[in-house]
Order: sequence, then structure tokens, then C-alpha cells
Amino acid sequence: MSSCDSLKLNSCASENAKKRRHIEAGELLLEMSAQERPPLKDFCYLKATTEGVIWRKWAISPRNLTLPQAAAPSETLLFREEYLDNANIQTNVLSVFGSLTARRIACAIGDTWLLKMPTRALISTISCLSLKEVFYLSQVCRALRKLCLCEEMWEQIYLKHLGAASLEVKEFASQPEVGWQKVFFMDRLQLQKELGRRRKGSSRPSSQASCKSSDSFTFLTQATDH
Amino acid sequence: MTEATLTSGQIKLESSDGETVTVPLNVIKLSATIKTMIEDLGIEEDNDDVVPLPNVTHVILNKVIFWCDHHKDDIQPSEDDDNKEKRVDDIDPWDKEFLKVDQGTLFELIQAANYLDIKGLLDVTCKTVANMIRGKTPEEIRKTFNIKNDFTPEEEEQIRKENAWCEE
Repeated sequence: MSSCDSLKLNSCASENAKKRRHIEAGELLLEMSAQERPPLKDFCYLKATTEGVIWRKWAISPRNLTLPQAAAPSETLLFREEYLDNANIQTNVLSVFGSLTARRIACAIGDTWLLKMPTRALISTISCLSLKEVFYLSQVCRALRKLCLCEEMWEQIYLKHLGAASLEVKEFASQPEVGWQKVFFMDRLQLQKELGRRRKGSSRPSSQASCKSSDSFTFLTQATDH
Repeated sequence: MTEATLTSGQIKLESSDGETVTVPLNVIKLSATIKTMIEDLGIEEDNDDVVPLPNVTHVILNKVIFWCDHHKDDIQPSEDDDNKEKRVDDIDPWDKEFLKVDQGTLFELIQAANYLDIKGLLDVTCKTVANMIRGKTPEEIRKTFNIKNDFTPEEEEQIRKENAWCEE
């Protein structure tokens, strides 16, 4: 081995040591080891912290007896982003340690699990929040914004804040040009007027419905246009 | 399937990772999915039939069964209760303790509650997530849930203008 090579190796080793220290400085999430499922016999070690993942693998094979260098355990050090981008390691973790472990690591170090929740569960979650909190949530990202402004969500918000809607209100809200957001922000008196107009048989409701706050109304109509 | 079997019998469930768990029917009846399965398939009491649950690992399945066992005697909410105002601060202390888990486990529990259609468990896990969102600014929410801000600066400016009323 030339001196240049050994220098490279040394600097690489110190880089790794630095990286290892950095990962180990994070809050420990889990540390476990297991043997791969038969017919494989490889030993795997996994340590996950809030900073990253350390993955060690000791390949066990009868051939290793004749190849001493192959028997040395290999180590992979991954920072959070590196782990999330590395599908290979994630597949390894999944197959050796199971889906729950894989999920726990992913969630702890950067998986956007909130966005992967079933829609029904997300709507149920959001309907627990106050109006202001819903608006904050709608400013987080596009996916949440879309959900926070959807009809189903606003039907839930109406239900929560104003109680069960009458059949008449439901029919009124289900019209494509009206919608639950508009009904929610509509002045109660104005709503009654609109309903009265509908009862009288006028098929087209006035589009100039007044609103508690004209600003909020603008927000809502513009938001739905997106 | 008669009511009597539902209160006395047992059923075998198989998790996605191949473990079989025997559960009393009066515990697992909280899962609408399994209840329907039993009724539709007509699985007999103490039969050797195993119900496969391809979406639930055994660790989560055991947790779900533990939760169901604690809540098996609760009065089931009627359909009308859906229309009542949902309170958020009313998580039962036992549930609160039960849900002191990492985000990954919480997510798996939500997935399982959704798949098995266990309304009570889904409600309480969703309330827990709502509590994680509560009182946070958009930036703090992004940090908590590792969400990237994917709005363009123009869109952000627009949103800020539109939402000015809500800051008052």
C-alpha cells in the first residue's frame, strides 16, 4: 500500500469517525441487532438517533473462512437525509427488523407521516382544531392547504361550530356555486334570506351573499380557485 | 353468528408478520371490520379458521387488542353522537398513557384503527395528533412533522395577505 493510499484511508476513517460521533450525539431512538432470515445468516446491527442511522452488517458465509478480509463487518453511516434517500438501506431495515421498526425510524428522522395518514383520520384530526389552528395548518404546505379547504372538511367545521345542519342547509351547501365554506361564513340572517328565496322557487341563489368578514370571504373564494 | 357467540367465543388473528393471536370476540368486536368479517363469513366459535390481517404487525396488533380489552365494556356511542361537538381536551387518562409512544408507533396505530375500523381508537389517536398541532405556527408544524414548505414565495405572500384577518 502506498503512503498516499494509506493517507487517503486515514482521512476517510477520520471522516467516518467524525460522522459516527455526530450521529451518536443525537438522541437515541433505538438500537437493536438481529440475524437475517434463513437461508441468510448475516448479523445486522442498527442504531438510530435523531441525527441519523448506523448500520453494520457482518456477512456470514462458509466461504468467509477462506477469505478472512470478507469476514470483517461493514459499516454504513447515514445522516437523516441520506437515510431517507437511500431506498436500499431502508429495504434492508424492513426485511431484517420488520415494518414497525422501519416506520419508527422513518417517522423519527424525517418522514412526513402526517401527510400519509388516511384522509378520514386527517379530517377527524383537523376537525378537532380551532378555526385559527386550521388556518395555520393550511399555510404549512400545498397538500395540507388543499385538505384544509376541501368541502368535506368545511362540512365538519360547520358541524363542530354551528351544530348539525338542517336538510335545507345541506341542500343549499351542496350546490357547486355555494359550498360549505361560504355557508359557514355567511351571516345567519343572509342564510335565512337565501333559503327563503330558494323556498319561493327562485332557482338561482344570489351570489352576493354577505359575510361576517369580507376579508375572510375573499380568502375562501380565492383559496378554492386554486 | 349469534349475540351469544359474540360474548363468549374466541377468534384467531394472524398479523402481517405471521404471528397468530387468539382474541376473545367480546374484545375484538370493537373492530367493525372484524365484526363484519365474522358475521359475513360465518366463522364458528372456537373454529380453527384464522383471520389474516395483512396490514397490521403483531406488535401493533397486540397494542390494539390491549386497547380494545380496556374499552370492551364502554358504552358504544350511537350515531347521534357524531353530531355532537367534538371536545379535544377530553382524552381519557388511561388512553393518554397508552398513547405515550413515538410518532412511528402512533402512525401505525392510526393506520390499524382505520383498517380495523375501531372508531374509539381512531378518535383518540386523531385527538392526540391534533394536540401535537395545537398552538403551533405553520413553521413549528413543519418542524414537528418534517414537512417541507412547497409554496412559491408569491403564493406565500398571497396566503399571508388572505389570512391577515385571522391574526387580529
